[in-house]
Amino acid sequence: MDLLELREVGYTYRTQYQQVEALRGVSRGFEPGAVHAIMGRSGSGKTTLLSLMAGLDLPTTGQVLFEGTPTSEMNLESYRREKAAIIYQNFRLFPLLTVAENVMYPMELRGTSPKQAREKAAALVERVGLPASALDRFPTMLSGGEQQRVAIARALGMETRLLLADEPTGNLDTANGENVLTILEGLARNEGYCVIVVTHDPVIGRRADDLLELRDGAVV
Amino acid sequence: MPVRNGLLSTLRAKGRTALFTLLILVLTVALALGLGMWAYCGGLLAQMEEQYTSVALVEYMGENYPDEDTADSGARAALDALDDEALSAVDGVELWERTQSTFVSIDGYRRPSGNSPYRDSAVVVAAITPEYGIGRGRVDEADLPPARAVKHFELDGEVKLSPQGYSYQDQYTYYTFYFPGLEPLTLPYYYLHHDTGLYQRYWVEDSLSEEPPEGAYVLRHAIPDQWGNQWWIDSIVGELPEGYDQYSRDFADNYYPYFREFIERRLMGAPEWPVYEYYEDYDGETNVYYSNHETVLDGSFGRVSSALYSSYGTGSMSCYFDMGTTDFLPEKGKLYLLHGAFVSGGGARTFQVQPFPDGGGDPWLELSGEDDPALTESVFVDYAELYRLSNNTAFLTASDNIPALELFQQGTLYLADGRFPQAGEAGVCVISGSMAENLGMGVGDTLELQILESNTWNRSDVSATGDRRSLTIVGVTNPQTDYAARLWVSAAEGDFSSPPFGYLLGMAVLGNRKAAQAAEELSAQLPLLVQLTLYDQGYAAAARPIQAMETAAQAITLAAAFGTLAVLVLFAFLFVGRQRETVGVLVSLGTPAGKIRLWLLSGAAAISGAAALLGAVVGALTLGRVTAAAMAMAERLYATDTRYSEAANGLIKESMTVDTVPGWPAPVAGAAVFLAALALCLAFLRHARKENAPKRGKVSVRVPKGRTSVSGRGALRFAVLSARRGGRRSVVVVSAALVLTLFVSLLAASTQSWSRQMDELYDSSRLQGQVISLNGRKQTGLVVPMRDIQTMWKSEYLKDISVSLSWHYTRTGGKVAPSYYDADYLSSSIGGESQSNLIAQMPTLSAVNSLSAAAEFYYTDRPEIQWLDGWDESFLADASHPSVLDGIYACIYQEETQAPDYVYPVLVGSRFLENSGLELGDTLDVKAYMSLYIGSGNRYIQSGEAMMEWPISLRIVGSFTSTGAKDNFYVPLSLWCGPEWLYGDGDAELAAREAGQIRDVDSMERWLYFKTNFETCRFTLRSAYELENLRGWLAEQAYSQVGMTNRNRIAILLRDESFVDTVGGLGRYISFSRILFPVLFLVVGLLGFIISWLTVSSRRMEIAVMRGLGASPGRAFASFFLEQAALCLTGCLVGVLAMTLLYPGGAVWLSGAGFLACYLAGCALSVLTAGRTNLMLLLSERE
Repeated sequence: MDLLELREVGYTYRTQYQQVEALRGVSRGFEPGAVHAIMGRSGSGKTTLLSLMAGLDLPTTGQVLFEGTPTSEMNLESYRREKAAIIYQNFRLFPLLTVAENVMYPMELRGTSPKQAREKAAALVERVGLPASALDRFPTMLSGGEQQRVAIARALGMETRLLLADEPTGNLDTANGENVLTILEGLARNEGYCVIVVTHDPVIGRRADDLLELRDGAVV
Repeated sequence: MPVRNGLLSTLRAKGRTALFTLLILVLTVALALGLGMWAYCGGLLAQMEEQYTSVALVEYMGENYPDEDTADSGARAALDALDDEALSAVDGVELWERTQSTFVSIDGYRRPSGNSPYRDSAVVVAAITPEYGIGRGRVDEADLPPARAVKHFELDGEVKLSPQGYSYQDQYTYYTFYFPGLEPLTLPYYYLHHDTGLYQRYWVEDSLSEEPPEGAYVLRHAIPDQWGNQWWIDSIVGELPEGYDQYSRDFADNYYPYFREFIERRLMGAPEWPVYEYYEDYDGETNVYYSNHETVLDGSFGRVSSALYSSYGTGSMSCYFDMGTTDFLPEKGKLYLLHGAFVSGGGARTFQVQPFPDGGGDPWLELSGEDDPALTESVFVDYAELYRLSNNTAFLTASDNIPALELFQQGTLYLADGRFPQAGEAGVCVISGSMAENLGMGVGDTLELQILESNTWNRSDVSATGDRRSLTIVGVTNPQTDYAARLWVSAAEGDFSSPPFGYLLGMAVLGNRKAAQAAEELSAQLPLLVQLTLYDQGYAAAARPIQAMETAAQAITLAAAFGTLAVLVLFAFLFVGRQRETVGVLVSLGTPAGKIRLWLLSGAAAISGAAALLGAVVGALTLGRVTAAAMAMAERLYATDTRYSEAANGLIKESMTVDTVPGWPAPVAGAAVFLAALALCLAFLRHARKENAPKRGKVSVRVPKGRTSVSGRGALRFAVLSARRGGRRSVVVVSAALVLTLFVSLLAASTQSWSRQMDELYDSSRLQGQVISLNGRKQTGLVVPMRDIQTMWKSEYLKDISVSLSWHYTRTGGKVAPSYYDADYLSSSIGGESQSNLIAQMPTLSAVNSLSAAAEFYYTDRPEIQWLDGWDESFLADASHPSVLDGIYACIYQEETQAPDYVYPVLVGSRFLENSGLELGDTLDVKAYMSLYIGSGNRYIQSGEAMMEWPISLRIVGSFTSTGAKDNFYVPLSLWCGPEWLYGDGDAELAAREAGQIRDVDSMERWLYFKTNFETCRFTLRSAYELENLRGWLAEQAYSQVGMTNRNRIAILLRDESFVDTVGGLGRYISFSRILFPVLFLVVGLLGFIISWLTVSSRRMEIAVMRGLGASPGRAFASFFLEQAALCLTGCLVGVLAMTLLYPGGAVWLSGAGFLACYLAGCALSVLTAGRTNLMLLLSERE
């Protein structure tokens, strides 16, 4: 059964001068335990699609269903907090929080005590391959690859089954990109996450279990 | 092309262009207005500097102050003690000069007689025929002529002799006429009241009738005769009894043609009809006859053939001669040289022979002929010369700043023609308009004069010095009768040999702006009893609002300049410096540097130029109105009520206004803004071009400090962690909060402190006032009626009133009986004058209820006093002493023969104790010379104002350090009157006075109450809060102010200047702060918004991420708001605590809370604004 399903999803950006139809009738299901890649040229609508899947907004037409329930019927904040974890291309870590505190943040949003969250964060950091010493370091002290691992750890800390990644290797060198990709593959294939990756990178496309290609807002 | 594109690019950024156009426009207007008002105020103040003259008069407050002719050794000693160099060196003193004046004799000038010191004195050559007049003397009964009139009385049905010494009341008065061969004719004696036209039986009350009975003998009084005396015209009503008319023939042979004429002639007192009248009198022992018309030599008629000196001319003239107090007995047919004076007397001119002023020699000399050597060389010639010189003198004053002399500075005199002599300019003068008319001279003419020298102790006693000068008239003043004989020269014509007279020691011309401070410093250098009076023509009051407005204009200009600079920097940065991409594109397209510059500058120049131009135009158009409105507001804010205040001292000039405002500030402001905009754009152009150059070197990364924390929960945890790790950003917020809190709480503390000071000032100030002369120059020796004292007290605005009145005294060897000077004697010219002069030399016995009212200490600090054990100054206010009036009444009306035996406590001078050998606790006797009204029914003298010597016993209870020239004594006020006179019910006394006649003790007391005048009067306000009420009350009661005479001619001066200044200053500060607080809190809110926005907006992505991770909007808001709040609270708390140490009180905390609230409001708004992020941009937006 699909964890996430897109049903005739359309999205239109409106400005005072123009309307841009970013997505048109996109339908697709995403199963857990696999890495799904969404590819397309710039402006094809892939980032818009990821945003809708992440619950940052609702589609203009159609539905995004999580475990069969449309996101329009859900509290988007709860959805973002409990159902969909996202990894940004630019990591989007809190610069004034340490690695541990960044990872703890979504846990605390869900009501986990800081102490428990701290312990979980330590485990997650270790899980993404960072040393324990990294826990008390600030993001600016880390390399891009390390920051992305922290971002993955933070996403894992949300304890969701849906992991969305926007160009996760876009700001990384090849080695770090490979590491991140390996982690994501592991999470999908070994731990049953539904990993959806938006990417330009054909390598990721090739290594993904499933590929969705968009052109001009529609599925090719 | 680049210009067109640059313009289009700029104009198409509509919002930004509009915003900056508006900002530059508004700031240009502000700059133009600020500059304009500054220039306007500066110009106005500069004009005021020229129009106003501030001077400080330095005067010695001597006994006869402000008499300018007094020779006072104290004043001279004080003058010697002045340090000219030190006084000149005081900051703000533009000129210090001692008073330089002298009498001069001007050729051809005849001084108006009204101003001459020896107006009536003369030395004449005269031939005299002695004449005899009527005098008074006892006559033996045997010498009574057969024809006579005898006045007698009927009392209790019996005919009595004239009961001199008893009351005349209710006695019927008759005249009995005796003629040879006829029965005595007794006629009732009636008055005819000249004002009512009613007849009244002489000395019988309630006997008024419209017609007297047939045959009544009637007096009609108050018809002045040729000598100015009040004579009675008598007549017999109706026909005379049978026989008297027939008798007239016989009577005419021996006495008068007609009986009626006898009566009328006698009573008209014509000197050519020497007749006798007899009446009976009573001297207490025997009945005697007195003649009221004894023949005595009382005058002579003759001719003045010539005069060595006479202001009435030196030609021949007929006149009467009065021998005055001399023993001179002229003989008919002889020629005399006489010294004396012409005295007034009806229509006839009378020359009275008078002793020489120095007392030496007889004032008459028989001449051997017209060539007698005494006519050319004698004491008569010397006196004639003295009078000639003295009566034709003019008063010459030398000064290097004549317009600053009091008469000119106070507007009494002004230049009607020509100019003033310049400093150091010799040979020129300004003369009074009256003198110019008198001499028939004007500007350009030359005066010939001689400098005179006054006798050391008598200014009018002048002698020629031989110092002759020719002065060209360069200016003429307005004609002013009081200052007719005056002229002025520069100090270069000064250096006179006459000793200094009067009390004006010198004058300092002060710079208007520094006048008050300079006056204070000058005062500190002045010796004892020397006072400084500042006359600034109202400059300080007029300049204060203008100066305040100038300061405000400077602040506006400065703020507008800084604001403009800040906006222009931002403008240049945004419109030029930030156009890196455009520059990059242009550079990449190979555009030449000049064209790139043109592209960027054209748009910026167009915007800034248009805005600056428009701003300048708006500024120029509105400057006039804005300035007028600001001026009106400043005047309202600085308006103080100076009624009855010492602040309104002397002439107050009309406030100056200038209708036109300067035209240059608006174009200058516009040009400056435009040029600054261009300069900054050029500077940022370089920056924009540099931004396109590749960067080299290491990129530094900011790393926060701290370790992972597990404390706290939720948004607060995030906020605290961010605040702790915010680094410089957090420090900026804390510092800003600290500084702003300090500022706001300092202002609040200051306001609270000002309010407290104001309250304390009102509570603790002892505001005093006083009665002063109408011209404001005299504070002692005044005439302050008792009734005014009581009226003032009844206003209920006063806490106390201190008054003084004094009498001259002489010491006596023991207790003496009271003695009296006859009112006739005192009113006679010679007797009164000599007696008054003699008495005036004596020290005074002052009755005071507080030493502050004592004239001797009026201008100085309280003297050091050594008291007898158990005594202090309160004895002066002790009301338990009996009034001397009780004793006086008893002696006058109740046949007591001596003053009551009572010893009054007295405060004397230390010098008196030393010289007299007396000690504290000793007693002494004095005679006080008291002038008071004595009604009829007394047994001593004719009713009226009389001078009496009253014995007073004193016990010395204290001695003060003597400073004055005389040994004055101070006794309690109750020696004269009790407190009920000051604080009682004056209306009742007034009603009594109006209703009754004064002929007993009670009515006498009432009368004295109204006739008692005090010489000084000081009072203290009940509370400073009553100051305005008192002003209003004084105005309501029409009391006068210095220089502004009102219905009530008592002038009041309130010593409130420093109080009003301080209170006014504090009030203005408080008003300012009250206006400032809302503005300040608004600014604080704005700053809170800006600072928070600057710190939070750069972290918008964090908010978005937070929201992306599922944080609620409230939590996201709280995370950042609480961070800002925590930082602000930290700064605020530190600030408030620091201020509380310096200024304890609730105001600091209140202002801190106010600040926090406003700051956080701004902060909340900014976090809300910054937090409104479209989450869809999270993925697409770059860092």
